Amino acid sequence: MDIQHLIERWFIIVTILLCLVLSLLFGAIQAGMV
Amino acid sequence: MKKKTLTYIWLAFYFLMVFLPLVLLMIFPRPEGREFIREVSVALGFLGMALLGSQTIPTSRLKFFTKLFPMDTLYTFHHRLSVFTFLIILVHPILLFINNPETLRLLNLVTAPWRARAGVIAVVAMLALVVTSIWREMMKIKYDIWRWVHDGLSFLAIGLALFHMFKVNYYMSLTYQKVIWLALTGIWLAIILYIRVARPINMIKKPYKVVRVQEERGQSWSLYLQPDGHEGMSFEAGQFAWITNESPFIFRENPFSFSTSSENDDKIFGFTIKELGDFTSTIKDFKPGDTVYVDGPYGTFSMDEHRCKELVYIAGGIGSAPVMSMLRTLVDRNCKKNMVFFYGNPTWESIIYREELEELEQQLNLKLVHVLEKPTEDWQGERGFITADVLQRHLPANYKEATYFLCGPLPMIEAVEGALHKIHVPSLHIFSEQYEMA
Repeated sequence: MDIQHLIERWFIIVTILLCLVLSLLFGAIQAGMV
Repeated sequence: MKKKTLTYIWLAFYFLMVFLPLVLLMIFPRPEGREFIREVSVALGFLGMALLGSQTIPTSRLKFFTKLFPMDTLYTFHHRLSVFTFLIILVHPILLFINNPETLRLLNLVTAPWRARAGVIAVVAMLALVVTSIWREMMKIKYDIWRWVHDGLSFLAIGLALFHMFKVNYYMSLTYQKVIWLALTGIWLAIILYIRVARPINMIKKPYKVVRVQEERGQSWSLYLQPDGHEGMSFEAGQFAWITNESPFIFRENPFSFSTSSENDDKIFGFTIKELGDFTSTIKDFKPGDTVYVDGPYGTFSMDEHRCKELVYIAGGIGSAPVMSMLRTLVDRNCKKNMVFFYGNPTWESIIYREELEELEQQLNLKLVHVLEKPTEDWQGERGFITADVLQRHLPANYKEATYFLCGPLPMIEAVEGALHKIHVPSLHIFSEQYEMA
């Protein structure tokens, strides 16, 4: 895998992880769990 | 500003567009919270909306993006993130149904309120978008028809999803959220207007005329163009442009790599195009004087973009077009660098530019390695595919310091990249471009 495709893969992985983490965090904050 | 800095700025801008509305909701005062599952669902809805609108950016061909990221990378972002966007938008109502099964009645479009109808239709439009994009060829949808369908469904999905969000009006009752989402909508609309109106107008203002069409080996044709009443464009060897011989407003243009030297003073440039589909099979019918519209140049697959000591080119079939542009440019620059070109083709007869490559071998410090998939019995050269063994037989001793440019179909690129890693070529030294983007 070349450097461009490494960046591409990490960009997608980071986007997906941030979406999942932030949505769970928002749910927890609003439900008074944290 | 340095390219690396710009890249980080644009990545930060992209992440801000996607995550800012939700992050601000977490920081500032907001309406009272509800059940965990319901709030996770809302968050996914917000993120899905932001990602959906942001999908207008990677394929917009905005110059400040295409200068930083390879076009095939931008299209891969778009493809993969679009599927992810659809999944989280689909999970949004599913979580609501799990949290309160009574909300299932909102699926009844006859009795449901408009906010729910808009949401349901937006999800169906997104499903149609994903299905028609992934299985377009299997569904036998022509590319230009698919593009209109894709645009229509995208408009419908984005418009209805925004309507749904504003009408639900829970977190959207906050003024700053309204302002942020209106600003984001403004950015998306501006990009769509640029793609669909401003760019076609620019292309029409700067037409090109066909100078000549030349037959090449391997069912390929070289198309030479010159600017008609304007200065033309300068490009870097290895870049490509989108071309069409119809109105740019029909959006039937196709991407092709420049195959001529970037050092030409006469403003004439050319593309070498293999007969692979509807448009490419019409190239041979182009006549001198015909009008062609060109949008470009694009791409970061360029030796001028990277510091190169020694150069190694690896191409399959028509993937040699950008390599040819680089080699012709290096001749014009009187370059003395050592270079190797591994060129994979089915047969000896199908090798595009075969005779000219032999001449270039004399003009440059170039070692040419033909690799034939189906050679005749008396073929003395390399057979099969470009493998690690083939590479090691011909690369110089200091091959780990060389810069590698790969161009061809995706399976070939993946196989060659695997071979390069096997012989420990650093990833930072490898640059690739695949044929298919759309």
